[in-house]
Amino acid sequence: MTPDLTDQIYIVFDDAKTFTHAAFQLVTTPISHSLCGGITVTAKYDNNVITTGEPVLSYDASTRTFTADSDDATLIGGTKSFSITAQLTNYPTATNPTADSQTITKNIFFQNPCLDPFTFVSTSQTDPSAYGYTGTLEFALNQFTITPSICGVTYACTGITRSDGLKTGSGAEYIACSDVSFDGNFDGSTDGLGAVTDGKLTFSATGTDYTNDVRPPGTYTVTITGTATESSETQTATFSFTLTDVCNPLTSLTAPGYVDQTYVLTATGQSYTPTDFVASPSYCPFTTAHTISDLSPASLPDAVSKGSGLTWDFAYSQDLLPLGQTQTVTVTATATTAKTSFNSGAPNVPTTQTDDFDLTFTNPCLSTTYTTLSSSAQGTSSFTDDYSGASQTFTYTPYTVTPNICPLTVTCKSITGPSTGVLNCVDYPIDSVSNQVSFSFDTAVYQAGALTPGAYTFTYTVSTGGADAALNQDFSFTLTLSDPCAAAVVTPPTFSAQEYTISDVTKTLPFASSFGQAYSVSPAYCATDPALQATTSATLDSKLSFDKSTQTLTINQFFDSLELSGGSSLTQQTYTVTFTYQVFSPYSVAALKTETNTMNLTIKNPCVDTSFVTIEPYNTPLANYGYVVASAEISFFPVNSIGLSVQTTPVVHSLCGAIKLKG
Amino acid sequence: MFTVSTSDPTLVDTRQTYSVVNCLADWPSNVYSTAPNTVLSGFIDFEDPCDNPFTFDVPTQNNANNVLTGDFSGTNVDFYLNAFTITPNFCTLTYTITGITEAGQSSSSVPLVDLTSDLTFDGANSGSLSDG
Repeated sequence: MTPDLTDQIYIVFDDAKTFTHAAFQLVTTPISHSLCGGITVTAKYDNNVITTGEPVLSYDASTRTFTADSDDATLIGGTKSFSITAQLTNYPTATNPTADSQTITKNIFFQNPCLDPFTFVSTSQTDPSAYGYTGTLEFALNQFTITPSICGVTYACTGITRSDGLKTGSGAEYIACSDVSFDGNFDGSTDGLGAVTDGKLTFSATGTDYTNDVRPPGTYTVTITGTATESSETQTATFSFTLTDVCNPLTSLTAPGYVDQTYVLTATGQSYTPTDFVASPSYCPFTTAHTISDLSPASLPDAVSKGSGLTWDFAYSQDLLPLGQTQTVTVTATATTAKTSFNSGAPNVPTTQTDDFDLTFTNPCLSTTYTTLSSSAQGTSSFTDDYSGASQTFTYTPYTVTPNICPLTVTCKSITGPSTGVLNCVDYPIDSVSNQVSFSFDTAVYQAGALTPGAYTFTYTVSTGGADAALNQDFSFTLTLSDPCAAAVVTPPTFSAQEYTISDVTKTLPFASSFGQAYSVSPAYCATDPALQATTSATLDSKLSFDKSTQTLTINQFFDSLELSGGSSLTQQTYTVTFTYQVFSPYSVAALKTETNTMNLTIKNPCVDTSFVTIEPYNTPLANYGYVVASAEISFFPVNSIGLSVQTTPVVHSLCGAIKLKG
Repeated sequence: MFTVSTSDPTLVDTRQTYSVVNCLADWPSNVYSTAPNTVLSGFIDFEDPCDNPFTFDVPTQNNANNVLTGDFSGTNVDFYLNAFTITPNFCTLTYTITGITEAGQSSSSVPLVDLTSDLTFDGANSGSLSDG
């Protein structure tokens, strides 16, 4: 007997569906017996015997249960046959073609589960990271859950609203779904780079959108509606994205990196134009404020001032006090958001950044570019002195310099003259207040012998401090030191003619007592050398001596000859005795002055001077005679002269010879 | 030895000292006045020879210049006397014009007073006239 078996409908992906059939009954006829044995039932699906593990439709013969269970989407909409065939177990038709068998065939229709998905729910979405108006905001949709999953769902942006409810002036949302790009079809489509774009929502905004409040910062909620393709069921999900107020705080505020500046004092037109602070994003507004440190003293004006734009102007010309100082310009930039109305009360977080540059100063006086040094005619520049000790003063007429704030130094450059190393610059500075330098040289200096008379040139350098020759100009004055001993006044003795009689005692003639005075010189400190010069007679020279220290001429006693008195024919002879008196300088070997004086020295013959030679007296008178004038001559003999002798004094000598008688 | 011989009339009637000067041979005091000497003295009396001249003669007045002519021109006519000779000659002579005679006349037309003369031979001019 054939059991009931009906067509089946199975929703693919659905849970397993079982259905059974009644058991085949073996009917024997005419009688009932069991000779034929049992019945074997063979199930088929799609004309194939169902074996164990049939994926779509399985059959359990023991329970005569079919189980339909498949997730094979290809089956959807299709129909498959299934059957059961019963035959005698011991007499299968294959071998017993005449044996009876019964087959029941039915169809199973595989229904589309998406017509009514088992489940369809939205899923929680993951908010994308905050967007900072750069690049692209990307949102990846977590697909809604639909069962079976083969069921298609399409998604669409169905609304974007600000979380704070703000809308544009026209009442529209600031961002509409049309402003985003959303691939709501999970169809495997890709972008130009090959990346799958399914479920991807992208959004981008520019700085201009930020600045112009087109896409103001804030949190936006996007509503994504998913629609089951075949059942048209819908589910919604939302996610939020935040447009960050990139200017609160801004990403960065970068200092321009000021460069320290150097300013040449008094220079005009010198400025510094640095770059500005850099905000990132660049459209974030910022303001700047600056401070300028004081110079010392604080009363000094600033050398730097804010010019137009980013320019800093430098100007300072009242003095050189800034030299060595640093004036620091500190600029503080503060960036704050202008979108506070969209911040929902979020605190404003200003960003500050500072930069500074030091302004140091260069001395203009060191460069001809900025400084001009002009000489001035000097006054008396020629001095003379003779070591008088009198103080003399040179007055420096100051040079002029432009700019006049440049201090001029006057330094002694050199002192040149006959003596080196004696007059040193360090001793002759020009006083900075009086502009004078004084100098004096007295006799002590002269007598020290180190400072040779002559012209000494004192050279001074007027300098602004710069190295250029034009900023270092010399002037000089000359001091001519004359040798006082060159003009010495010599007072000689008042020489008078002197006599010496040969054989007389040694005769000394101290100048001081014999001639009124010795040689003297004024100035008295001049070195002198009184000297006796050789006479024309070497013989006389040998008789004379001269004591320089006492200025004493000595005529040494002599009686060896009458030569000096003229020999045998003269009673005396006068010689010129020459004295010299030389005046010397400590600075010269040669005499500066020679005074020459002469004295007549008469060497007398003692033989004609009874002071030295006498004849011993003889007192006998002679007889008297009478004679008539013009008559014939008469003759008579006088007494003889025996007994007369020559007496000499103070020494005995025989220079005068013998005595003779003469009538 | 001393020798006395002199014609010096100034010595007449004088006593002169003579001396022996003892002096240095090389430095005689007569040459060298200051030389030492010793003088031994005696006297010599000089007697007057004019008391008894050795000679006294009148020379001829034949001086060529003494041929005198005159032409009344007013110019002087000079006569030069040849001096008389006396020994020793320092004995003094005095001359006197004692008269003028004119040839052929008993008396001279020229009186003595018209003559001017210098009859003293003293080497000096007397007016415009010279000795003699």
